[in-house]
Amino acid sequence: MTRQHIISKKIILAFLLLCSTVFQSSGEEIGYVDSRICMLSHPAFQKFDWQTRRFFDTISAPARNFVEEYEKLKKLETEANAALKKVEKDIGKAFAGKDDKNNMLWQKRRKIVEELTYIKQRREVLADLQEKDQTIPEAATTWCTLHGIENDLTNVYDLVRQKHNLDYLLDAAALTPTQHPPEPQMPVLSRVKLETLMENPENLSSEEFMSWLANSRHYWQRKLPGVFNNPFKHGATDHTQAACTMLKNSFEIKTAEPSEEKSEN
Amino acid sequence: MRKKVKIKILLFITLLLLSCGNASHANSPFATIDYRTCLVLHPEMKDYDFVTQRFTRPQLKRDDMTTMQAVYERMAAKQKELAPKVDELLTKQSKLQENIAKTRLNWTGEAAKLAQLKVSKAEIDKRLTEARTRDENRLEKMQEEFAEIDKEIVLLQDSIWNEVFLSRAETVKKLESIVKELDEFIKETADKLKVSCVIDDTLTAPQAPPEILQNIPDNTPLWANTAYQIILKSPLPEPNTFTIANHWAPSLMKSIENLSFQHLAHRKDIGSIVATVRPSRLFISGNLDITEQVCRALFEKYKFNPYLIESLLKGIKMFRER
Repeated sequence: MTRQHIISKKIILAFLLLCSTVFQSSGEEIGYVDSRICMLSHPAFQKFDWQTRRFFDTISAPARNFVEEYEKLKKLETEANAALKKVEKDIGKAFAGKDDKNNMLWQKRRKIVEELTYIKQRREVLADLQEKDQTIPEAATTWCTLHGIENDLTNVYDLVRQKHNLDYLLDAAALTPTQHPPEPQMPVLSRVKLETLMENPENLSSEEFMSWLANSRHYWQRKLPGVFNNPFKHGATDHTQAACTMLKNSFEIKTAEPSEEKSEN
Repeated sequence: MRKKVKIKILLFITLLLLSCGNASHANSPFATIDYRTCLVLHPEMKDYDFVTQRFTRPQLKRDDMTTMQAVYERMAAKQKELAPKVDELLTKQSKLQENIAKTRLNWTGEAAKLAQLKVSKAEIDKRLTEARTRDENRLEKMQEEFAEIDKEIVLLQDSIWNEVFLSRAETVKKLESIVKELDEFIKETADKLKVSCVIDDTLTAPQAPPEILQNIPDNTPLWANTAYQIILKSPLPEPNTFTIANHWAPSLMKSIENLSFQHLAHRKDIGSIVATVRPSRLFISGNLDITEQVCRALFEKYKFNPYLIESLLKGIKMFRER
């Protein structure tokens, strides 16, 4: 094979590659999730009290019995402190050992520190409630849990996007209606039929047609919400279910504000 | 020499392909549509009767007065014949409705009754759960019965209106085919325009204007925007100039941050106020809206008169720009 042949083959190969990239990029992958459904699938929402709008087992939980809870916290604190001492001792021993074990121990320590932070902050919340003679903590105490949920959601959306090679991942919640359309005025719809309006094209710029159109849109949106309320009419795939499954399986609930103590992870 | 010509030809073809590739792309992968307008103006929808919630039969000779007179007479006779049966079913349904409401109310009563008994909280919770399970089963049964009666009424109405209107089942089937056809037209238009995704961006506009305060205190400024005004009037540090503000620059920055946070919390109110003036749109500019193209394609398929098509499109445009 001559050198000339090899060069021309290389050129043809490069040409074919170029062609394939040009044609590959002609369609974009677009997916969507409904962030409201995803949010409700997060394990934290299984502990959400809809009446008080607070999360149970976190610093925002409504207080039921102060004495009982203080006692419970004291017991938890004793256990957590003992566990912390033990894990720190183990970390010291494993310092020179394998990375895997070390990582696991630091992970364990992080969890214990988080629990101790929760105990400390919950005590402060309880004290504040007692002082104000209330049982439901301030709404701001839910922020740490909500912030944790937001972070988990962002991670899951990134995973979904990567896994399905999506160019865009949109949020259906931003485009779906937040309220029912108004009740249509039936006299407007029953008084005149579309067919009658179309008999004279002049009618189609009349106030009567505008009113008929507005009311019939409301009528059909109420009658067939499944057809109308999905804003994606073509070309976008729904990944809500996949995102919800990931959320249900793999995240923990943030119970308190993050501790300021540094950890290795 | 031949090699050089070959390379030139290949380069030329590559450039041509690249430019074709670029030309085949729409400027944006997205397009918008007013789906509700497209569906309500689908040519087949002209036969829908909003009162009976059924389509009229297309072969019906509505302009032939003699035929229609005979049809209406037969319909009236059938209605008279079936009226007692329909009434009986309606009475049954209202009785069921009453029982459903009573059962639901029972839950609240049961809880109050149990709370007065001298039994433990656990026992109360147990009895309440039992009562709920029992009632829920009862409710489910009653609702099933209600739906069955509904079906019977629909069948009777179908038989009365049979000559003029499609039955409920036929209406559902026709609606499904209309929706399917519209979706196909949307897909076709999107493919033609090389658009990857079509979005209905008309669903989110709020319908009701925000509540207007009736009694505004006399000293309220016309545009109360205190947080933003405080930020703008703050004594701010200036670069390369000595001002007293330089001393507290870090804390000033923090308080501006807090004030901005407070101010931005009101942005949702602005949204609903603006939306009453004009509906919100997903794309402000650079968007491709395919409502007109889809409607035109549908009207043309059903062989509408060109003048009617233009008038309809003008009407749609007018409606959407209001």
